[in-house]
Amino acid sequence: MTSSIIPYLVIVYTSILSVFISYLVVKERDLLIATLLMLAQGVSYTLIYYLLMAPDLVITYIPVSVGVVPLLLFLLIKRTERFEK
Amino acid sequence: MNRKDIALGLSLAFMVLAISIVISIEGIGPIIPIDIRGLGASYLWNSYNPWNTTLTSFSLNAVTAIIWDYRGLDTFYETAVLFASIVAILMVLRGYIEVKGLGAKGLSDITKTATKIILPLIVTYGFATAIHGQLTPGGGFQGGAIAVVASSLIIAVLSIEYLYGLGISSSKLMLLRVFGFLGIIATSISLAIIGMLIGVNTYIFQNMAKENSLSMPINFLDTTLAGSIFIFNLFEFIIVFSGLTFALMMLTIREKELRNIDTFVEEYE
Repeated sequence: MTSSIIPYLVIVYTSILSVFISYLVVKERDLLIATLLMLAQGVSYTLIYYLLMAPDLVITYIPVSVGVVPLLLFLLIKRTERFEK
Repeated sequence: MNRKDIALGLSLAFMVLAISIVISIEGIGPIIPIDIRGLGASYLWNSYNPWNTTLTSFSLNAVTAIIWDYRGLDTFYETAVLFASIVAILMVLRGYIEVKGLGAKGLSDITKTATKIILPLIVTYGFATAIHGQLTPGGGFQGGAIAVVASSLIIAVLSIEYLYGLGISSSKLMLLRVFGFLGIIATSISLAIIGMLIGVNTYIFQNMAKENSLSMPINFLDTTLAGSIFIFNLFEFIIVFSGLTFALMMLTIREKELRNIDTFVEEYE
């Protein structure tokens, strides 16, 4: 049981990081950078899912959070404005 | 470079460190639960159990066994929700006409060539994830979501004209989606209809033989096929891939393709 403290620490770290990133996403005025930050948040969630033994969710979450959602937001930003007023 | 950038850079660097720690020290080392509740134990015990043929689904992946066999009706309704949401997109954009040759360029040649090399790999990986849903983590939705990355890459990098050039149009995707949905319905009621015809008791969403002797195909050569789970995963892959690709195509719609939309709506009203 000695080595199994590491995944718990990683979970704690990644969940705190994801909260931090979501704060930055809300505060960010450049929406393109906000989308890229959301991508990083998705990766940290993926790590948590992986450590909590949900490989099915990992496989769904990687393409959705890294591929599809940023693309949709990029398309949306292209149609509207890049900078928030 | 202000304080926010430094904090962000440091925390992202720590994230990379965390990922590498997990990969190097723990290997594939997820957190294993120490105690299992009775429900979980029964699923784990029964999902592949050739000695208990009335409760097993012959699926080595317990999650897929639960999703498509033990609670198959739930997953069917989830699929129906996805289906209905795409229908809602279509309702908003009725009167839309596909126009080819509007001269969309896409990104640079290097990006295009690299993307063309990656595309078949992504689709193959998604398809493999879908059809091996009963063996490894994954399934129809997961495989479909992976394959959709290919079409989203096409739309972003090679432009939507390339998608039309491949012969993928929105009407074909709609047909494919309806075909997948009808396939799921047909698979779920096929054993019930056969049972009705030959006069034994059967169930909707029946996978393996219950008190009757009807069952879906269990093995393909030496690999377990898990009966209807394989077929459901295949159709779910088709539905998710065609549905989400259709949604992406609708979101990249060009202005000239929407010219008729006002007159169409007025006629309808």
